[in-house]
Amino acid sequence: MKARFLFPHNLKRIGILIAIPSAFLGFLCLYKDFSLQFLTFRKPLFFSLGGDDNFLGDFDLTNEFAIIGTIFGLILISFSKEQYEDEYVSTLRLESLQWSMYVNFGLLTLFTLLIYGSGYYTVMIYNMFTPLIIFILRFNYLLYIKPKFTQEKYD
Amino acid sequence: MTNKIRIERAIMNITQAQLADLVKVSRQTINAMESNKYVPSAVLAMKIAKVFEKSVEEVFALSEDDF
Repeated sequence: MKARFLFPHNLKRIGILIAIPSAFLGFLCLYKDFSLQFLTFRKPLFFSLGGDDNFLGDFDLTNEFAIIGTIFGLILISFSKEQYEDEYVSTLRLESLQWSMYVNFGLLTLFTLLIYGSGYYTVMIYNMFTPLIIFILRFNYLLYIKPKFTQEKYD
Repeated sequence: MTNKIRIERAIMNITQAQLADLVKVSRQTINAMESNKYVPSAVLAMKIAKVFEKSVEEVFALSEDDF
């Protein structure tokens, strides 16, 4: 069976190597106001000509770097082929994706009702990544952990 | 759908992993079929029957809840 729209299997590991440091950098940006010097640029002159004082200053691309790295890494982890990408794995992949959407938007609904003000901004930041994270957890649980309970008895 | 994969496998004396290798799927797929959690495609059902040198109907059968 041909698996479509998936990356090669070995990119999964590269995804992990990109996602974890990027997420760590993201936490530092979010909670410690951390910024990397080499990602901070002086703003080009034409951005300052509008007269809006808030737009004066430096470009800090650290959080952009963290967000894009995390997304890119999580996409590679989610959508790289498994060692055997067969029809059952494809079914699990689709079902896990649907499950993760339900859980993600269920949680988002809950947090929309429970959290107000600037806290909600944090919820939205996490919500950029939770669909993929929940998907990865669900898919890998169904594929690798759950069968362990039934497999050994018969093998 | 019910199947006799586990029985046929015992007769041939091969493990889930060996059967998985023979039909080129993951071991999890064989395990899911044996525990009736997954109904294979027609192609996979025919490949499995071929490994056991039986007809598809001898290995796979319709059950009540398929109707």
